[in-house]
Amino acid sequence: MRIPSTRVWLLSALVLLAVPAVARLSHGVGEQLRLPATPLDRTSASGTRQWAFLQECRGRVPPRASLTVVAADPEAESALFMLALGLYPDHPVWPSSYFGSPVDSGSHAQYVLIFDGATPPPGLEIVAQWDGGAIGRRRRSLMP
Amino acid sequence: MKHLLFAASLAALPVLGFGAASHRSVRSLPLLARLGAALAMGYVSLTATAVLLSTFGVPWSIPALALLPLAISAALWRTWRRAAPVPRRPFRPSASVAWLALAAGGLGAVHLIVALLTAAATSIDFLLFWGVKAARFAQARSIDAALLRWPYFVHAVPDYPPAVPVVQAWSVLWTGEQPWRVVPLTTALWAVAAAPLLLELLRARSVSNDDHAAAVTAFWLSALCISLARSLSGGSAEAPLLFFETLAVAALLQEPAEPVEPAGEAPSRFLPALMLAGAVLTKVEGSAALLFVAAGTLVRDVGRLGPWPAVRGTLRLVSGGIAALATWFLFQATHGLPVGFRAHGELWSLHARFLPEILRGLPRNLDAGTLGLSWLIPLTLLALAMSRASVRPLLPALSLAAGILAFLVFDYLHDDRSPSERIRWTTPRVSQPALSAVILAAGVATSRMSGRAPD
Repeated sequence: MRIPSTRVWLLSALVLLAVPAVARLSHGVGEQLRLPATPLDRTSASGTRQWAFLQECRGRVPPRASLTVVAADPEAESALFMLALGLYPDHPVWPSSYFGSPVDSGSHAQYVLIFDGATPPPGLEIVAQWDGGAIGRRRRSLMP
Repeated sequence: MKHLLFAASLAALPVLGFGAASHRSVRSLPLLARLGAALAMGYVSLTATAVLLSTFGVPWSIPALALLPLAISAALWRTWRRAAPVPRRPFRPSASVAWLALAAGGLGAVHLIVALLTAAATSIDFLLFWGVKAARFAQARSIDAALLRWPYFVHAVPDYPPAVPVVQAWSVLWTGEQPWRVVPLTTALWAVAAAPLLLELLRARSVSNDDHAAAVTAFWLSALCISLARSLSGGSAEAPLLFFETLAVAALLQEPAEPVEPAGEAPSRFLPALMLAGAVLTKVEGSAALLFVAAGTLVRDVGRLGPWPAVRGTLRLVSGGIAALATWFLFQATHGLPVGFRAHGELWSLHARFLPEILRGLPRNLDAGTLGLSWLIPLTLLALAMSRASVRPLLPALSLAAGILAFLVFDYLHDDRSPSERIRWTTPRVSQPALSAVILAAGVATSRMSGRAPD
């Protein structure tokens, strides 16, 4: 059997493109082309809030100061720690929990980033607060 | 300014690897195809240099990282420039096919670029570990062994090969900080950069005319761009892995059915060996791909060249990958890290009760953003072509495709809980080189049915 394969390949390539095109046409063009505020805007609502929170904290923590993140949800707390390692590459970042399990390494940190109304650990001086988060500094006498 | 510096850091990669463009199998290719080969060489030599500097405690800087790759390229250029280049026919597709192929491939690339720009295809792995390693390595001016040993860094798979963090860290050295929003765009760069070299390799021998090669390349580019967007691969290692494995297989498929080397000689394997070295340095799956491609090539070549030339040719094929692995393992050994890749459970501790769930879940997640058409179309064409042609010439591609899918099943069988969630997350990404290999195999197989013989 002889197949006009060049034409088949070309037409198939155009057919493939129709599938995402249909998906795109089902949403407004303006909404789809809106530039995102975070790298997770269109893939993870919780990730977007976590990324935005960590970005908000940048500039409010002194250079190279050690930090940890606390959140009400241990899973979110772990994710925030992992993201903070990349967003704060010149800071020592300690986990308060890891894969959902609390760890006490966070008590080493000078600064505590408090995500979304989480209960802050004791002995903190709140140095910044806004809707969605706060930053606390450990009083020197409580530092390990 | 930062974006310009980021672009300059990427543009520097093919400059570092310019020596590859002087190899006789590459030199006669058009500029964009030569750039693809130089990009591969720059990526591999930059990574190897970064690992060696880290091994011997020399801090990274742009000049320190660039010096050795430039010296290697200069030496290769001096050595290879005298050899006669492999002759090539000029590329002369019909106008209608050229425009349609350009439109299809171009629209696929635009779809991916828009998805990446609008954060609709960002890889969570990029944010949780690939990019994190890059930012931290750049800060430490080295592969940070203490970080890789830290018990709270195991989520970042410290044993993974170093190329993606190293190349991203190279950009951070230029820009001063990790450009999180821009790095995912490099995913499109890898897909688009592969296309001109792929086109040249497809039309070199196995595919019988330029129209057919252009059509297959257009299908490949649109299928993989849609898949990369759908599988949320932005900024991760998926696109470079796809680049290297695709071009390795394409370079092997274009080898002639009748050997051009004198009897008893093994074929020169510069380009596929370079590409497999890149794959091995990019992801653990790159090492598995090296084995699958080598096995397929060996079986093919035993019949084509005889046993000893086939073995020697296969050794040449894997030599770059083995050297690359040795470089990474040397760093691990000298820095108190476990040498090798961490196994996903005991090798033969399998949970066979999940086999039906895996065999149902795997095909369901081969949607590739096209309702599975990206797989079904080349598989159908391949089945039609194979009814009247030999499978042997296609073995480098078919062994990769089958090997990756079998490897996935074997990997999921290690899960002691339902693997469905992991299948949903990983199959769309990890299956992409298999999809690419199926397209290449079908492209080469159907070229024999499409008419004109090569000039």
